[in-house]
Amino acid sequence: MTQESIKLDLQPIFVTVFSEPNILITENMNAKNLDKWNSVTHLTMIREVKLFYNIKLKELTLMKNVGDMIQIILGRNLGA
Amino acid sequence: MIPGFLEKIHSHLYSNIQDKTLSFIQNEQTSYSEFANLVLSKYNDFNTIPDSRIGIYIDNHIDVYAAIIACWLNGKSYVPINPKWPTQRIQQVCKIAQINYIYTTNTIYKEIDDIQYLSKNVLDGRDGSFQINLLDVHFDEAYVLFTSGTTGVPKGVSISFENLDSFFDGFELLNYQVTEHDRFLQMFDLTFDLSICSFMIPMVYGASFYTLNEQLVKPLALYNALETHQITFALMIPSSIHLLENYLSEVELPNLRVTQFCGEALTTNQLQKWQSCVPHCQIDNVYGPTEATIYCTRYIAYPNSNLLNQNGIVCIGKPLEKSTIYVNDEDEIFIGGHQVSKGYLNDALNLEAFTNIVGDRYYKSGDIGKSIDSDYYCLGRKDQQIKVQGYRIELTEIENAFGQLFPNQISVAIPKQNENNYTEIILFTLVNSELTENIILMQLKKVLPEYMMPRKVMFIEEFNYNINGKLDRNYLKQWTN
Repeated sequence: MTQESIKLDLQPIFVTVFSEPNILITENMNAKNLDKWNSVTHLTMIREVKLFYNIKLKELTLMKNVGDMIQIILGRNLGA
Repeated sequence: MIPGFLEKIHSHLYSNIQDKTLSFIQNEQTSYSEFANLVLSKYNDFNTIPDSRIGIYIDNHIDVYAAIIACWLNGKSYVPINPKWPTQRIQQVCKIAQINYIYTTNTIYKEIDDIQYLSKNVLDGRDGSFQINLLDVHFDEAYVLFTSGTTGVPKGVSISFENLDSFFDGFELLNYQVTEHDRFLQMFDLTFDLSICSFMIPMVYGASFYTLNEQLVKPLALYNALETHQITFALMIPSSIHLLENYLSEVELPNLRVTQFCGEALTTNQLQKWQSCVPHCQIDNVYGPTEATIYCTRYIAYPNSNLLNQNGIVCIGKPLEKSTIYVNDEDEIFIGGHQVSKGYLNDALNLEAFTNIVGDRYYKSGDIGKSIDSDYYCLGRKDQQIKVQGYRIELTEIENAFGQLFPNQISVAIPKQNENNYTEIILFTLVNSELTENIILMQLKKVLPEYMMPRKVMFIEEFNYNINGKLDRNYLKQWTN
């Protein structure tokens, strides 16, 4: 699993969660620079990512942007 | 006389457990000795102020807690003010409470008529190397909390040191066996009196408290605080369970030994969900209005035992040691005893809210209740009780019926006057692809009498919660219009 492959996985999740067919995720994407990233979509996104990667909630709570999320998924994969 | 709780805090600050952690706020840890210095840096300045009340701009910052203790050690009362309130409200609060000074950690100062600011930056440089002498201090009022008034003017509830000391006496007899090793959750805005319990009790016992990480979305912040800080004692509102709803299956909190729920009606559904997450933890339902100092009754929900409830609302138990409860002929809960406030600062409201019964003073809570076998039940607000076709209806009863039918959904019933001036009930719930208005009404029809049936079900994306984390019903009332 690489950073790029994780981005490819996350892309459709973001399209669905944010209802934005043209969204293109970047590492620094966060609640400040994406209008639809609010408390509700944040929680929905975490739920979807959790399910997709079978990650524990506690691993994701401190995630603040897409880059953090990728690192958490990557770190978990490396550790497995 | 020195209040017992304050004497204990004072002894912890200046004697025996100085290196121990007191708090963890926004990733910053503070020991008792560091906190003692923060208190001292403010104590002397507060001492020179002739006023008996000081306003404090609330902020999730250790200095704010230190300012509160500095007020108390001076025998002064603090009035928490949220700097985010509209300027007009702050002005009203300052006028009613006759506040001339506001302490602030913030660099933004609102222009409020005749107010002088006591700035953290100025006070931090002051010499604090002197002794605090509590013996000569007169202890009268401890704090004033403002709540919304029906007339639009905020109501200032005055709580005395005696009220607060009585609360702590009652708390001690609840026998939680709190020790300096306990780690308390502090999830409340400081304008909400449950916050006092969440930071004061740890200080009294030499324990520590932990606030939520403001950088995180609230449910995650709550989960994160409980998990990361290995919280042992958590006072929460029942809405917290809604916030954690999607993550309850992952909640593993082996260190959590006590959860208290307060501030809203606790339903059997909510309680059972939390019990299944933390089966080893004592779960208590506590009850009380601000006017009776934090809370004044307690019910222990023992696992695997008969859970006392009325229409799905969990029992509030028995009064604390220095409180008395009385339910009048119209089912309203009256609260008496040493925890009851001496009154509102707005004198005109006192006659209506407080009364004497056989020589004892009682607060008329506005809550509907009943007593069965010396246990009390709070069944809702008088103002949430409506009449439809002549029938008296508790809106919470409809919500509870819904909760029993759809355990993973929450709902809020709101009354609405229709065009013919008849009262109808609108039921709000969250969007769920498996639920339709028809399904909900069909199911409800099986358990509710016709006059209690909602006229309409409205699906919304999310519920709004107010600053204290309680479900915001007024926001939904706007929707019905």
